[in-house]
Amino acid sequence: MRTPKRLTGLVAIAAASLLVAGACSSKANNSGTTQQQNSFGYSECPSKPDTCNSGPRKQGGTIIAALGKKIQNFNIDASDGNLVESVEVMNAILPGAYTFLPSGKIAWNPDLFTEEPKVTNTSPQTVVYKIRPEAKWDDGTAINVDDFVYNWKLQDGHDKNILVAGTTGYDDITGVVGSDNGQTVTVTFKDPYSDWRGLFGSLYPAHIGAKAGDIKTDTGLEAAFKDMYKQPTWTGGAFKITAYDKATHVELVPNPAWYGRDKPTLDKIVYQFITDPKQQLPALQNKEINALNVQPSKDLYDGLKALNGVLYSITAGYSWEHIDLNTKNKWLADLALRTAIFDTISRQDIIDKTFKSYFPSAKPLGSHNFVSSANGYKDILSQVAPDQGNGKVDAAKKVLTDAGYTIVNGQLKDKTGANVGPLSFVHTGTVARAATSEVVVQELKQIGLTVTDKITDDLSTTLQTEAFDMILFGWGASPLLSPNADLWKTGGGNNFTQWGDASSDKLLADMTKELDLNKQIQMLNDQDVILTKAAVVMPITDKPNAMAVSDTYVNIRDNTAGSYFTYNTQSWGVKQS
Amino acid sequence: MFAYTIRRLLQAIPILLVASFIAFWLASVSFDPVATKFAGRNPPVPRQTILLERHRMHMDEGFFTQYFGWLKNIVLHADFGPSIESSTINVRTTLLHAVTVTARLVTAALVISVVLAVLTGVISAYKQYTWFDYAMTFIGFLFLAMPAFWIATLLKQGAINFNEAFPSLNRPNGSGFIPTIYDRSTLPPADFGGQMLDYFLHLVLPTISLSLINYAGLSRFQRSSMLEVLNSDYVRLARAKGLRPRTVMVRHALRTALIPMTTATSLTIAVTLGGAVITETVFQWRGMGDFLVNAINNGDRFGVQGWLLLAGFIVVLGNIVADLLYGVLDPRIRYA
Repeated sequence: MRTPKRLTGLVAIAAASLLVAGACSSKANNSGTTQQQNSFGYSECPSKPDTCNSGPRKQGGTIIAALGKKIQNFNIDASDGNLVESVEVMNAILPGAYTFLPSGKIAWNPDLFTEEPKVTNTSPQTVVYKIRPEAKWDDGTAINVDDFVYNWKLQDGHDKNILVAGTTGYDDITGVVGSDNGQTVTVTFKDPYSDWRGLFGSLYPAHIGAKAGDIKTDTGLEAAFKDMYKQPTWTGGAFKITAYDKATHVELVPNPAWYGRDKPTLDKIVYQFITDPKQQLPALQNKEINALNVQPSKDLYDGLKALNGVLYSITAGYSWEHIDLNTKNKWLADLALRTAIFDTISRQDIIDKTFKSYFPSAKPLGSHNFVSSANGYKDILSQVAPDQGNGKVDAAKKVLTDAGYTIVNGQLKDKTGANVGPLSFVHTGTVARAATSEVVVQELKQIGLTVTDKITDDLSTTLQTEAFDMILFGWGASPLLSPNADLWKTGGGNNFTQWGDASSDKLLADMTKELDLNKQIQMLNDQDVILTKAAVVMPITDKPNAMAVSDTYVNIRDNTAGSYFTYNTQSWGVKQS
Repeated sequence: MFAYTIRRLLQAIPILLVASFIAFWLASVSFDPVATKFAGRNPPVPRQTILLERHRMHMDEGFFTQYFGWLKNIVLHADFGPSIESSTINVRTTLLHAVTVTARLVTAALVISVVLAVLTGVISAYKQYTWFDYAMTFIGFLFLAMPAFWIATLLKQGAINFNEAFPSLNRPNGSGFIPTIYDRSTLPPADFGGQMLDYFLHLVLPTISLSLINYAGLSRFQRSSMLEVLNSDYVRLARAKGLRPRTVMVRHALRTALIPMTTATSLTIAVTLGGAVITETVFQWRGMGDFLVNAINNGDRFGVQGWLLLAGFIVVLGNIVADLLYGVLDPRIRYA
């Protein structure tokens, strides 16, 4: 019997509809309005970032947390091991001098030291660490000056065969000396180094390194450095690695010899490598993982809101987006044009098109040296250049007119009557950056400037070769302040604007040597005034970060300040009901 | 047949050489792995580290020196080169492990899709213009129209919704009954039976996803091939002799109709490898697809080159197997 064609068509439509409906099904929203970006349980995080989601724990339980990259080796001092995910795992294994708390505060480690490390002399700069006698590696070996010397020698850059990720600070140390049976460590610097708190943040054991070679020689150090790549069979932290599959996961269990005040209650932590961030949310929904920490998107935000039994937060992170101008460009060398460009662009328009849909509290960033949540943040832009980044087209036109520019038939012309532009606007082509580019291209038409969108798949080369007129990318910030110098000093390795200023350079140079944190902050804010007036870089906003965890766990919270969400694994636990 | 096989394998060598050169050239012009690796680091990586890394990756050598050095290492030492991700990673070991993972997935998907395609194609041809034929035609075109990533995501979400609807089926570790990531559980059951069930359950979604992509095209192909054979003279003669319909179908028609299918299936291996890239990304299987995506994202030239060469070898091998199967299926075919 022949089936009527009309019925066949109806069946086709019905079946397709069922499939579409299945794909689009969603669960009830349990967590509030579309503007809410922190669920109940994480709602305190904006005001109490260091203590939100706190609570008593019960003994036992396992947590599976997703990491966005596979761990290829365990040497986080190495250039190819210095990944966020590797640090996240090793946080529970390696003792360190200081931790960056979610609030941006730099906290000394009371599990390792008897008192806060002190600067006992400023000329030369001398720092004294007093190690607790209880602080031991899991084989009973005391954590002492030998470990400090070992980690210094690995990272001071004297041996070019040790492919260390960075030597900053360690190459300023002239000596590391022990006393009180090695429990007091005295570190001396040749020049003042303001970010000394960032040193010795992840101590590898000297006595383990000594098994690979004589660590008093370069050959032995090189062998020990390579040995650090392997899965650690030792620990000086609250947990120990017991299993590692290069492709899928790493497992940690509590260290029975842990000397810290806060004892782990979890039986096991599993870090699961889910390299496609879009697959982390379904895994959370299916309870194959219990926690995730990723860059958010609208889809992620909508998905998290729809989940039951999950706490989530989207908070401003320690990275920020900005537009840089290449002052070597013949037009962009002119301050008036740069000022007019930045006055014309509206950062709020950019935020509305990019982050607003899933991060409602996103705001324009007013500083080049501090993210909005950092200690020391001041909205310098609003004070010094209130038109900058606020879409003030009339003000921009006035600046141009006063400088001798004209706009004829929608085309900007310079003082000689020649056309200005076109200018290239380069970015890496992500969805958010493409949207930003659209805004910039459209808005700069208002002052007669043609801007062409250009995508680069090799940002590093583009920056190094100055193959841009305007460029959009992000910087990762830190509670440590001296790396800022390299961004803005004349000829700095990360200063891609080719701009320089003697007063700015002096402030930056003094800042890197200043040991008083408040004075450092003041110097950076003063330098920011100069930088802002120069209109070479326009900060847009802090980039958000998302954290989600099953609501059966406590003391797990986001930390974008540099120690990451695993900064306190010894405190993680299953909620006591 | 042995001589034929050896001859075909030798003929594959120049093909693979050309493929290797193209793969090497493409990867060389596409990536600067060292720049990608150290991009945006603040503070910047020391210059010495960059130089040593470029040396490790042979980027301080000329193009042809790099190519012939790479080729020599593959031929003499089966060494696919260093990985940009870390000096601890061996591209060969990682790639070969990835092959075993993908082989499991692709084999299961191919077997299911071929068996289903042959079954439905044969029945559709035999019962041409019936409701069964129309239904299978509709299903075939429906799956042909669906992109692989959409099927995979749809299946995944469907499984999650199913798990949430039936929480009593949850596994002891609390996760849903049907797993959606990896080829096995991170914390697998201790007993052997539990582990086998764990492997099987992890295979379900990605296999269905890959099978559907292949089934659609193969079933249409089998139907056409079968129809052509069913209308041929020797099948008419077989019917006229009074043979039972089943005997005519299976012993006379099907064997001939399967010959074009072997060609189609061997070509499908290449398509399946491509589809596996998406499937493995969605389901987070650490197979060849995941390896390739990872290598591209990291600018890992040697990883990409190794993948392309290995994929090329698999496709060539698949074609040789298909050719050999012709002789098995059709006694008239003999190899000189």
